[in-house]
Amino acid sequence: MIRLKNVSKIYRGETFETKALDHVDLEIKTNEFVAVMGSSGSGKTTLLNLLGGMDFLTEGEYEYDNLKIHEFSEKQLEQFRKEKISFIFQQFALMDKYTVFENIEMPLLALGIKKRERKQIVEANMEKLGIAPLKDKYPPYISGGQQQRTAIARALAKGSELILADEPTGALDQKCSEELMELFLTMHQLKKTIVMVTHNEKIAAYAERIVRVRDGKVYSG
Amino acid sequence: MRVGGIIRLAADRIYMHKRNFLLTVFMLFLSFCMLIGVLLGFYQYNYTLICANKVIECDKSRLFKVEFQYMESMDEKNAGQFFRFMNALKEMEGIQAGKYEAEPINYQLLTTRAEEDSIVSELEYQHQAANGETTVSVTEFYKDSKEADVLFLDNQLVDICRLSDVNQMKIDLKEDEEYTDMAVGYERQKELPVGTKLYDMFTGRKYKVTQVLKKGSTFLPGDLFSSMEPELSLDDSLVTLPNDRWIKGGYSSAYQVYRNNIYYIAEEKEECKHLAEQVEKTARDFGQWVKVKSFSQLVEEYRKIQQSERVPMLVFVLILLFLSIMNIFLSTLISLLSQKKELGIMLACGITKKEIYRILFVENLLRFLTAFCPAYALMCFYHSRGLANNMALVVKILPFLLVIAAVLMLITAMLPVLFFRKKYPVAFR
Repeated sequence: MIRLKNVSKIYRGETFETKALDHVDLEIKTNEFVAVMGSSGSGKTTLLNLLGGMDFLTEGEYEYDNLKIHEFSEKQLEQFRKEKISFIFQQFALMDKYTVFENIEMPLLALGIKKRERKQIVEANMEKLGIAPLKDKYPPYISGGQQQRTAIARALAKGSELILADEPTGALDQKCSEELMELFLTMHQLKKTIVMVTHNEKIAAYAERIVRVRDGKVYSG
Repeated sequence: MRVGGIIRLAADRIYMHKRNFLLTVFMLFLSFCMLIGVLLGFYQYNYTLICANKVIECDKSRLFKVEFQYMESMDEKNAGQFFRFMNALKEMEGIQAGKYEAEPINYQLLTTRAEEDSIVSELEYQHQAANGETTVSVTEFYKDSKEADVLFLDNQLVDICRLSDVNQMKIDLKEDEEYTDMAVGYERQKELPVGTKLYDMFTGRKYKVTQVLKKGSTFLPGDLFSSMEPELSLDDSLVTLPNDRWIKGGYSSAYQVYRNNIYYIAEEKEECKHLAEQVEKTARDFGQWVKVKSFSQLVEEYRKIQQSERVPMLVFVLILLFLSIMNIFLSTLISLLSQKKELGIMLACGITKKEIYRILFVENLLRFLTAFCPAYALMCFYHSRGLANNMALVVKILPFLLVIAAVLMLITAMLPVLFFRKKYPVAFR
């Protein structure tokens, strides 16, 4: 269970101050598939960053399964991110100079999993997502849809409870987007909690619940 | 993350950015080679100064030396006059000017036995100056000890080896050639005991160790101020004993001594004072500046020159170090800045900042080892030829080098990392 209570995020510069999130209250149940919708600059990516422990709150409380994440130190946040969170980014965020296999393997290396086990997990996930033949290929040489599948495989391989996706279909065409959303539904069936940011209504419709964000405030959901 | 994972990621990153890696390794390699060379030279000067102390102790201020300075800067007229002056002295020995054939030279070994009485022979001659008007009378005193151990110190022993090794190398030895007697320094008697036969591959000469020099024996180099490596201590050396053999060519340092200096040795200070005045006047008449100094004074001046040379050397080493640090630091920083996305993805995948620091540390460690080991190996190879004793110096400076390399590595590896130490992971997206 994820609970955000009176959460604010303010970016302060030398001459400016931007309130990205303004006293947001939000609850996400375990195994829920939530879409966060809003226009550019509304604060949805900031919300995702906070949920994923990639950034610190300025104000408010963030609880994850009764863990007070807002009180975590940087080291604790790193551990939290390592164990509980997987990310899927719009531009896939794959490392171009690593093969597909190595990209999927990366989070498992971070967890200190042994080589043989890593190999089994990666291969299993590649089979599941239909990208097994791409094992030794490099991201620049595969299609956008295949890259996004690789990113999803990486997120699944880690076995995290919470998957955060930031505009996962942003760089894909309609057909690939639909295929991808089918995969998301499959992930949801695997008892994963998914929070997906999108500005596309059709894509958002795949989620169980839609949360709308405007000017740093959550309006519905 | 396991250690294996960190090493693997570091190795992967090196492979991915191999061009950058090779470039920094190459620059580091050059830096280390120059550093090692400079440190060796620095250390050798220190080594020489220590030896100079010994010489002073043995001297007891009874040895005086005439120093002709800046001979190379003489003009043609002065040079001609100077050589005529030198020729007059050489004529006494029957050696003709311009013929650089080696002669047997009574070369004085300065040992603790210098305190003993020795036979002094006096030679007196006159030289007719070029204009026929000036007559120069120079009194020379030679200290001719029948118990002198050393004829000359052969500094060209780099190609000498054991005769038993030569036999295996199938070198054609001249069977009719006799062995030249050799003495070994006190510290090397275990390595080269009496009876050891040696072969000089450069000259083709055979030597046999017949005695061990007394501990603390020192050697007075002919030209204290221009010698690059005045081997003042004989404890680590090999020396050739008096013999009838002629040494061809300019390989012998004794020959250098004879060309550049005139030796005057006086028993009493009064004698020396009289001698000094005579020599100084003679030289002035020929337009050459001469100052007679005691050996202690000479060594003191030599030390000062050595020290004054050390300062520029030290400055050079510091500049080199600074440039090396800046080079690696900047290239690491630029490399990190260009890899912001990659680092951000690693953070998003769950790799902690501490693990990233470790990966960068291992990367830099590999970089330094790849540069340092060949540089040091190259210096070892260069200094290990023959029986030259420079390997001891190369080994002696290794701890300094390791400390310098470790400090450099830590600074250049970890300082750029501070750049993103305080940044949140979101800054890398």
